[in-house]
Amino acid sequence: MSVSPRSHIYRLVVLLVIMAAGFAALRSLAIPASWDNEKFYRVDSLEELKLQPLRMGGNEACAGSGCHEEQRVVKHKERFDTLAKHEHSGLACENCHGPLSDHISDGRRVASALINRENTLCLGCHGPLLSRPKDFPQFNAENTGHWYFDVEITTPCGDCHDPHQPRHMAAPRDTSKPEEVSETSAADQPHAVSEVTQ
Amino acid sequence: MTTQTSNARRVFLQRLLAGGTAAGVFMVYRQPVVAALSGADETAQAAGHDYAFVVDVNRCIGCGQCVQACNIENDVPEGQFRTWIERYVVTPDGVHVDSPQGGMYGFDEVDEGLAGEAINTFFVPKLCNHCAEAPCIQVCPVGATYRSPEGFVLVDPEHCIGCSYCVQACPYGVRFINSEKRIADKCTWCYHRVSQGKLPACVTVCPTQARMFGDLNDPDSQVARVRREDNWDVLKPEAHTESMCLYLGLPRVVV
Repeated sequence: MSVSPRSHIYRLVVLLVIMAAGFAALRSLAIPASWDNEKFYRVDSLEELKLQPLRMGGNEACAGSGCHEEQRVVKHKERFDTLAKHEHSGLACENCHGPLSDHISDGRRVASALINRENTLCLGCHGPLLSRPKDFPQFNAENTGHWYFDVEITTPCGDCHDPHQPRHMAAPRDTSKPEEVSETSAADQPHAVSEVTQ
Repeated sequence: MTTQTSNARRVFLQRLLAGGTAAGVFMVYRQPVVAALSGADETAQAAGHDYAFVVDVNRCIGCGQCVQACNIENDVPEGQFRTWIERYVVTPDGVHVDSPQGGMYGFDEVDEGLAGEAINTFFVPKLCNHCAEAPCIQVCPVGATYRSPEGFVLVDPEHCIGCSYCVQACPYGVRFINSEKRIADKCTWCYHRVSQGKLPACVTVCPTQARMFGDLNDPDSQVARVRREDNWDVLKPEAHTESMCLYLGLPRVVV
């Protein structure tokens, strides 16, 4: 039995078939499922990116949730109503009270919302800076009210200004005793706890 | 015989003229013709959303709330920023720009010497422009970055190999390699929020509404009105990136 005169051709064909199969296998491994050859991206990644959890809720998460509209936390409802009518109506709750995810997680309250009475919070926006728009209200010790009451930049803003209605001067707060908890016990209304702790 | 030949030549010349005219017309009106032939791709986008972002430089107070909200919402590593605020101080000697911590914790007052010379000074919020002709998409060797049908330029975290070509390609410097995930990272216009009907985190918290976001296909949206009626600019128009981030009141010194 002599070797076929075309054996070198057969060998080449077999080699080519193996190489083609290998290439096809590698190619199918390298190209992800749902690959869009025309637009050149993995279409599934759109859905995957949508799964990123939210941290900031936006005002609709607070005002529209029902949590802050129940009668037992009537104080909060009032805050929303006041806020909506005054200069700070464009602000997000989270600007001052911290991200929603620090307060609510999986639909349950995990901690009281932040209450920051530091001047630094107010001055973050209202501190005097040359680069700010000239018509934006910035702290000015010379303005009539501040001058009259000897207000300095270190004086607690909250002593006179209610952040929910900043142009209405509140009576200076007596900080020596804690605020009274209304009607129901503190256990009933978890939010009231944060009101007392200052 | 002679008649036949001259007829053939005449026919040939007539056809040449007709064909040439047709080719000329096609080349002039090529884009609509190709679009019509290749199906209703453009119409699909027109029927869906086409998002855009507006930054009003005149309203920004440099409080840093947007940067804080963005870093919280998107879990951006310390010291890296998907959006940031720049402060420009224009003096006769030149333009001074700073952005301490991306403006995240606000700004200290301008140095007194500089303040005395300042002709103009203002804050400019920066973020990804979600360009319609994005250079970062063109250079990605693996197709890990793309523009979604609604106009979000996104990074596929599963597919990115972290080669950082896109970081170099972006004319606006909005991309970076996430120091924890080791892949390209950038502003997504909060794609995950917008797909749930919410606004991007920075837009939500901006106290002066210097940042606006909306759908250009909705003629009543704020961004559509701005694009239609206002005198807007884009950053680096010479880069021809078709930026979808429109700036209002943008001084010419801003780069």
